[in-house]
Amino acid sequence: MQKYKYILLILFSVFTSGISFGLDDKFKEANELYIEEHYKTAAKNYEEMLDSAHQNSEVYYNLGNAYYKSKRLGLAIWAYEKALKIDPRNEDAKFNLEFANLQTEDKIEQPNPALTEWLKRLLYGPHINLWAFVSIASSLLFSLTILVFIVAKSRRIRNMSMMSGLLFGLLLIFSTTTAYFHKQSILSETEAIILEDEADIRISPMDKSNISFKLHEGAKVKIIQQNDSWLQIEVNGNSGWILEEEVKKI
Amino acid sequence: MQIRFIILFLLFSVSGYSQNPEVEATVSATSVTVGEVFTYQITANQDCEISIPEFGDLEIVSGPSQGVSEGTSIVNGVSKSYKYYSFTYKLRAPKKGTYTIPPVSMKCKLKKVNSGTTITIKTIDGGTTTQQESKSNFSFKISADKNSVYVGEPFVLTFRFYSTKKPSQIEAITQGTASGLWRKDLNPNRTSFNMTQENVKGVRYYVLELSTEVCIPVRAGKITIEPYASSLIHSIDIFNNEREEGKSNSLTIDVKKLPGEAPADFNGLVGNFDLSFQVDKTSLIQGQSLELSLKISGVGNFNAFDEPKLSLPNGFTISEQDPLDETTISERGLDGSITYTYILSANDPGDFDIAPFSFSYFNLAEKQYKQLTTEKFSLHVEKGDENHGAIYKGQKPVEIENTDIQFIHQEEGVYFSLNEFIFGSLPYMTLLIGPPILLLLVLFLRRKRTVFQKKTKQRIPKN
Repeated sequence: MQKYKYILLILFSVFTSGISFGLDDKFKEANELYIEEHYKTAAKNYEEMLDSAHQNSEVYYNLGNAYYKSKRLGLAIWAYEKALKIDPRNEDAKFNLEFANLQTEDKIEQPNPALTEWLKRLLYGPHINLWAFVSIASSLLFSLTILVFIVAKSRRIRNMSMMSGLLFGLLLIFSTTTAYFHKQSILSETEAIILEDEADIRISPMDKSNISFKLHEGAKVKIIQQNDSWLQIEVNGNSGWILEEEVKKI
Repeated sequence: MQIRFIILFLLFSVSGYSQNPEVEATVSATSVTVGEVFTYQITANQDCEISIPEFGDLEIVSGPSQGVSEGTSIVNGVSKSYKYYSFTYKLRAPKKGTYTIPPVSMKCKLKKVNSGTTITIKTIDGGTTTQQESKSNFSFKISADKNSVYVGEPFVLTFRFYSTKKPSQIEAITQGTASGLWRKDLNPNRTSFNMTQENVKGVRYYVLELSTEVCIPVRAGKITIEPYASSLIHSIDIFNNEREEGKSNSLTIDVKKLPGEAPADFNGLVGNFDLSFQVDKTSLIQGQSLELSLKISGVGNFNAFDEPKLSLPNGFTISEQDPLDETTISERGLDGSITYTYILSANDPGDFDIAPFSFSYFNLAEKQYKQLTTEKFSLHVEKGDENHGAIYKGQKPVEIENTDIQFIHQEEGVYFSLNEFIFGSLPYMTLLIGPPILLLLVLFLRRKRTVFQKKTKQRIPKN
């Protein structure tokens, strides 16, 4: 039994390292293509590296650059947004996003308060399960210190364990909440970027419906709900419906 | 007793309403000297619409101040209530002559009455009275410590309030205009005001110093300072206040030209000054720089001083620093020093004579022009090595010529799968909730054991 366990572990290591090497080569190849100014091909290579099983802030960032250089502003903004969603500390992605946003036509009010941004940068590191692990450790330590508090006879130990228990309890609540919000922020697709040069935002989710307003490439919108191939969006306090194919969800 | 009060009340009411409307105008004096303040009062026995007459050339010093007085008078055993409404003006005859104030009229419902008499005011000889010499209860006055000054010579202008009643609050102070005068308040943020008492022809006045300013004339000729205005309040009793507002006299200062012919390097400085200069080195390498500072200290009209212009030989670049102003305002003008600092950069090697800097000022004490000069000095500049001694070219802000996105990242970073999140998974929930459940279980078992032990002890019979 023990023997099988070791074999499985070794196989897993070889497999994962293989993936890593494979991706690493592709990343280097895509970077070289970018340096040689083959931006479209570089973008294609970066795109191939990304799927639901392989998410990476740096790859999204480089993809954003490749899109930007190949004059696809909407996709570039989307890629920078994705990079920042995974790693809010990616300074270059933040800079390039602001730079690209300056070239969009629509003035979008961003309801992103500085405090929320600061908290994201502080708490959402590149390791997605960090706060989940901290919450498990806090739960264990909290239970242990409470047990010590009940069992211990010495007044000093009881006091110390009570204080530690309180701290671990608070850490448990904090880390569980942060882990929940971190997961939500990465998995939820509540925003989208307009990809069309000019997109019609309609009053109702129908082709014949009147146009409420127009948005242009790169505009960031909030998704309210989905109705088949239509998305109800909100921007600057105005809402309307847009075809799903005309946007890319962040 | 109650019936008696009701009768009395009815009597008063009837007497009050049965009154015929009457209006009267009075003055405190019909013969006044030029500038003397006198009182003009309108008294009415009913609260009706009063048309104030035209005062003609008479100046209104203050007013109208309104008042109401009421009471009861008993004549031959008959009691009568009265109520009077008054409007009081303080007036002044600006020049010699005869002035008339037409009768005042009052309209009460449908009835129109007037005071009937035209008041005539005559001015009599007695010279121009100053405000505090008048019979008024209060007055304002501006005065200067000098009536005749040179251009650039400072003098102190004081604005005072005179009143027979002690003022309790200052409401506002408005400065009169004056062209050709540089003025600064000696105490701009004052919170307490100096109050003294002065005896004027047997009447004791409270004298309040409202403002003290240092003034420096910037041109010769007659400079007129227009009247200052202010309003003050004094308490009559706990509930009532009276406002006293008005204007001061105007003042003319004779500003004389400076005597003699001014030297060429005179730029308007009047007072007493000193000049010192400092240079941090006289020998330097090409590309290096030195610091030269000129300090002008003393007392006088520093406000007239222009920044000194140094004459330098070719081969130097001059950079001026912000002057260090260490002057304070005093009764003598501006007192202290101003330091001008220059950075001189040597561009070429060689020996250079730096011409002295000089300027002239008018010494007020000695009534003559004086010249201040720095010493002449030489500078030795050695030929510089390009590797030594940075060439001073002055600093410029960094200018961005082109902007673009940041370059791609070469480090790949960490990959993760969207299915990798352990939060919310069964193992996570087990590990998170497991320890507290185990803890509860231990506590439950522990309690059960304690209860069991207690019961066992109770069952053991005592020997």
